[in-house]
Amino acid sequence: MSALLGIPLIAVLGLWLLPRRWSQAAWLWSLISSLAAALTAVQFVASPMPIEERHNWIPAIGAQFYLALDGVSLLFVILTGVVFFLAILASPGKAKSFYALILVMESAAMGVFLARDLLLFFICFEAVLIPMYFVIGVWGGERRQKAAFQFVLYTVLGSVGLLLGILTLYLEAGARSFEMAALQQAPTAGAAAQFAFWAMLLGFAIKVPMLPLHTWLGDAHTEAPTAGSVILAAILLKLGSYGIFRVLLPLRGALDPLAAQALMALSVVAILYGALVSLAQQDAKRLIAYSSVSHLGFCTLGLFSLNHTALTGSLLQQINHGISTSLLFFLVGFLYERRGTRELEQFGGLAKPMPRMSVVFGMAILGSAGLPLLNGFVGEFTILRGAYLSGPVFAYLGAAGIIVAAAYLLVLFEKTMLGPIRHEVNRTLPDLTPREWAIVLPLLGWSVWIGVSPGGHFRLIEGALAR
Amino acid sequence: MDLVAWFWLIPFYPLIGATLIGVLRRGAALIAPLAVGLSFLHSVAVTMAPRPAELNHVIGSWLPGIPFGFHFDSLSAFLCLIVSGVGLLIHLYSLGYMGGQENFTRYFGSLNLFVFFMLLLVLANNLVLLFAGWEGVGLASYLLIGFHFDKSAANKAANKAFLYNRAGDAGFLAGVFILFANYGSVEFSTLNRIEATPGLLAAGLLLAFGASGKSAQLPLFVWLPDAMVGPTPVSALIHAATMVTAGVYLFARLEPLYALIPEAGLVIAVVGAFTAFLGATIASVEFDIKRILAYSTISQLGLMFLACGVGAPGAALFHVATHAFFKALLFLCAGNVIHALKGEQDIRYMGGLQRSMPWTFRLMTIGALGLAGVPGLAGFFSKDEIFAAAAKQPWLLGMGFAVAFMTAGYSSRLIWRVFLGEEQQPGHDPHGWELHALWPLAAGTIAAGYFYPEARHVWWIMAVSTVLAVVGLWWGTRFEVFEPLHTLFKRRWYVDDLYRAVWLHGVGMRGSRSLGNFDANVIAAGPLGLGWAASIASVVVGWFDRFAVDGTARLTAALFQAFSYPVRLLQTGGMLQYALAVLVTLAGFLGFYLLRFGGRP
Repeated sequence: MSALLGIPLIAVLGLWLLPRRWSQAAWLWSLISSLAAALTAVQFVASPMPIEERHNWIPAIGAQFYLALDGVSLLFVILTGVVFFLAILASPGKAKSFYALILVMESAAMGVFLARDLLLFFICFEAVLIPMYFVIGVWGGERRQKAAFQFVLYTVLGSVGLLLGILTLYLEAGARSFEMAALQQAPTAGAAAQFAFWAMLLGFAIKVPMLPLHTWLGDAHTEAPTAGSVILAAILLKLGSYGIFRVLLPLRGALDPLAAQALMALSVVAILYGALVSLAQQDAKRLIAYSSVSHLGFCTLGLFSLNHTALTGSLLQQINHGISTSLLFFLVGFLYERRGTRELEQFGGLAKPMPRMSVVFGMAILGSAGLPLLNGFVGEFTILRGAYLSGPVFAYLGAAGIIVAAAYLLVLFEKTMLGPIRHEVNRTLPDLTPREWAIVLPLLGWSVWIGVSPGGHFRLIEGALAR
Repeated sequence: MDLVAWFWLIPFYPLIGATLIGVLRRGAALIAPLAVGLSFLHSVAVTMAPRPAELNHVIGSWLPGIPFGFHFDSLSAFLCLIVSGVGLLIHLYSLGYMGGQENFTRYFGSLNLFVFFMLLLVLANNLVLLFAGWEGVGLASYLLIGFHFDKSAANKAANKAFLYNRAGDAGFLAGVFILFANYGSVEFSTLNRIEATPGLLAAGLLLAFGASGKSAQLPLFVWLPDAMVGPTPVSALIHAATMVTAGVYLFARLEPLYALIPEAGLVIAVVGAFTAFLGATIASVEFDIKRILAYSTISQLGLMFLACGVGAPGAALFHVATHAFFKALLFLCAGNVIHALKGEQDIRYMGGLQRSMPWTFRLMTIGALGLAGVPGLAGFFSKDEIFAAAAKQPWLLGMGFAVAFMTAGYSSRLIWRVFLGEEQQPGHDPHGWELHALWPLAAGTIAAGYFYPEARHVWWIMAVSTVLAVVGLWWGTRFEVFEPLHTLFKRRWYVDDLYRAVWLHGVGMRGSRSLGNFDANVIAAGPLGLGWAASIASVVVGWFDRFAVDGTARLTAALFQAFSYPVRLLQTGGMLQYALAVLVTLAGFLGFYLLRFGGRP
């Protein structure tokens, strides 16, 4: 299991040894190693779960290198493997250091999804964020400095909260162990548990992002290079929601029902607010970024509903969001590579020169909009069905969110693919290349698979929740 | 292969067809009609064959607690036959109508996709799988309304249709959540055996709201007239004969459930009656040939809702069938007229076409008389069944009669303005599929009324509606609606204007834009404020540094300076003075030493 963390790290060493002149070699090498990591992740499907791996790490404070793989971790790990592989596939010809940072992020992300030791979790969590700062700040768009700065500002704030929360738990429990299960079940005093919960929630909420801590997202997504946007959306945001699931929800006696209702209300506001703000955006990437606020609102709604159905739906929806949103970011990236702009105003009528692209784009949008028989519906339906049990009004408002979701996604589709061709240069854009097909097909396939037959995914999640 | 056991394959032929067309990108003219034809034949075979009253087949599990399951009974059979039968005719008609168009392939792919979703809708054994078909037909409708995607009017209409349907769908989903929470299952076999619970009325109304979106009823009917920018065969199939009747199917499928909540039935009946009335008034003043038919469809669907609301879904379904025949016939004839006049849709520029288009004239007249409810034709019988069911509520019946009168009026107005009177420009009759696909529809319009097993034949209602039809037909030839009613009808009762102001301009544009500005300038100011706070703090610290820390340092320095002043006086730089000082000091120490210790070490 530690191979999942190890393969990308070893690949970084390999990158370092490669001569600088062989630029394609760095890409190929990263591609191969991330493929190896992805395949390693996928092969765990066949093994019985959970798998654990434990080594002493810093005995003096009781920190362990403790990894465990259950169904939920497995889904996130596979998502990580697939998304990083595709992100690298979409980014040929970059500097060696770019691939190195991406691979470090991959290793750390695997660590977050596998760690069962809070200190290890925290370190991996941080280790994902720092490379992302450089990816945005160095390879980003015109306003990358501001975006990266904002990203770091928020990140530091969140990390402080997370660290304070973890230390509080550790000191209060007095068990000289950072093991998650031990800390979560320790008889922590009410006030300390409350403090730990809210401090850590701050850290996770920034990453999700929950309202009103989402404003770093627009700039970061928009300015990041395609691979960066994809990884941000598919993986980084999940650090927050997964963290809430893995670290916060099992915390004993920290979340009282009233606070949970308040957080559900906040999630519903995020669903509607994110969708409406998304509708007003002129930049394709920013539009998708705000759609993430809305979609992650569904995820947190499911988490804070505190019932089995909603939680199951939320976890699946986190995977779904990873699939659909990275697909959308890839597609917008393809357009950007052709036109050098993401302004919706610059497109229109692309279905004529790029009919295949328009079909793929349409499916991506429908998956994201929650059309049945594609992935988004399965998650949203299950979340709302569960949320109804905890608060009917949240389910109703959440359902209203799917109307606005359809609105901004249809606008995105119309303004890029449909209508008359307004700019002559768009008339001759080439359709999807084989490499681009290789990027979109796995994601499309996964989307249809979850949409039509999500049983396997649900079994994985339920197997993990049963314990 | 045992066709009966494999009944669940019925929807999948068109899905395979659509996939093949999408992948091969050729052969659509062969694949698409063939796929729908297979569905039709399979439906006929299963319907005719000896079979149990209910067939069930579960392919596998779908969502937790929701199977991917199919169900076939006489209601499914009935709708399968209509969907695949009319679908087949319209595929054939499209071979002619859409021939030579670019994107012929995309057209047939979407049309096949529609038939798949529609058959999924009528064969699903639970509400959520039905919903998959329900949203799927909405998607296909979106694709086909926006078929000419380089025209922005088409895209606007497609978006509008999708969004109004979605609004209904949100209500539908909310209803499903209630049923799921209260009864733990959404399978029809369970839902139709339940007891009433407090949430049931809300669930029933929410589902009905969903139905009002799909079936273009108040309050969500406004998308259907705009949907007429799609190709005419699409209007015939999706926006007249099949998809828009999905709401009626839903009520029929859940008949036992709705029987538990008569209050919901009353709401549905009232909504249907008002929509029927409103649609008929607007149809009476429209000039666009397809929009007349669209408002007529809205009105006829209203009558079906009325029937469902008063607990007679059987009559509603009968009307679904007869309406499918005569409305599809009317639309396809209208398509022939539009083709012959090279795209002209305004009936003010038509007239006298009976001479140049005799067959279209005859066929369309049959359709119009069927719609008008002329005795002997199918529409007459099915409409009277609805009236017979509504007779318990006199005022509903009264509204129904008013609708019947106006229907006859605008039907005859349509024929009058298009085919009779002075010839404006000549047309020509079509040939091939564009003509031959119409015969079965005409036959259905004439004969379908005689095949309803539960006909009630209330004689006085038949008599009244005969009179209404005849007077209406006569009135339609000398048609006039007076101000201010004319303006009210022409502006579509201002419903569209209201929605446009509230949803499109209000929430959609102004609301989202100001929220976007709010987000960019106020919410984002949070961290920027943090940054500001940090920079203000740094200024303060800077001041503190300069005045306090630095000040202390300077003060200290000043003090040292002050104290060192006398010392400085001594520091003259003269070598001799220093030497003298050293000597004096040495002498002093020496003297002290000598005095203190007396010379002893």
